[in-house]
Amino acid sequence: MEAKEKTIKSPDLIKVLGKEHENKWVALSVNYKKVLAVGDNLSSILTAVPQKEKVVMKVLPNLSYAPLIL
Amino acid sequence: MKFNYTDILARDTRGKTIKRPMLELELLNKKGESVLTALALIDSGADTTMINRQYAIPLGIDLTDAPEVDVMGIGDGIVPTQTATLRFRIKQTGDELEIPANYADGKNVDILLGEEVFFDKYKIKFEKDHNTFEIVKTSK
Repeated sequence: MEAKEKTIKSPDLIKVLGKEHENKWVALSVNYKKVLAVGDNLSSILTAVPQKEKVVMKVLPNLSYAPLIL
Repeated sequence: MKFNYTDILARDTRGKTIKRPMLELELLNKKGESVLTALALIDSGADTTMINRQYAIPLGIDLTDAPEVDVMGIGDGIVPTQTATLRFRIKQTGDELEIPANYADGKNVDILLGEEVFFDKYKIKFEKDHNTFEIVKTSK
């Protein structure tokens, strides 16, 4: 019998990020449970959290877009 | 491999949490070394991959002479970008890719995996009604 493929669970960003993080760069713990650093640019959070084990992201505001080449 | 959609902060017109198909990527430098881990949105509405240009420095990508190209976004109007490559490993599959990417300034971009190359390399099946999406490597 064929084994059912496991679905990879997604991180729960809602539990860890709030409105105060919108438009900011953040470094999160690898289990997505803790905000390690918040800053206005990527370099500032890389300086604040030098260890490799982290996830970085730009927290976007509630906007949607669909870019295309002109 | 199947993944759940990721809940994000935003809400839709009905007040429900917006879910997006996102992949965890290890961003690699020119030597193939893992430099950063980040989340990328799979965007079938984007012709090309877009990435915030702030990633260029830690990845060792020199944009000084990179070709310039204008990209249009609905919310932001025309966004000037520079084209280079983005090398990464998909964390859960271990697959490594190098794809063309537009490095853009702007507050409204993190990482968008657009159609160019990425959608040729993977058969991507969105099943929002099941809260899952699937990526399967193609032979291309």
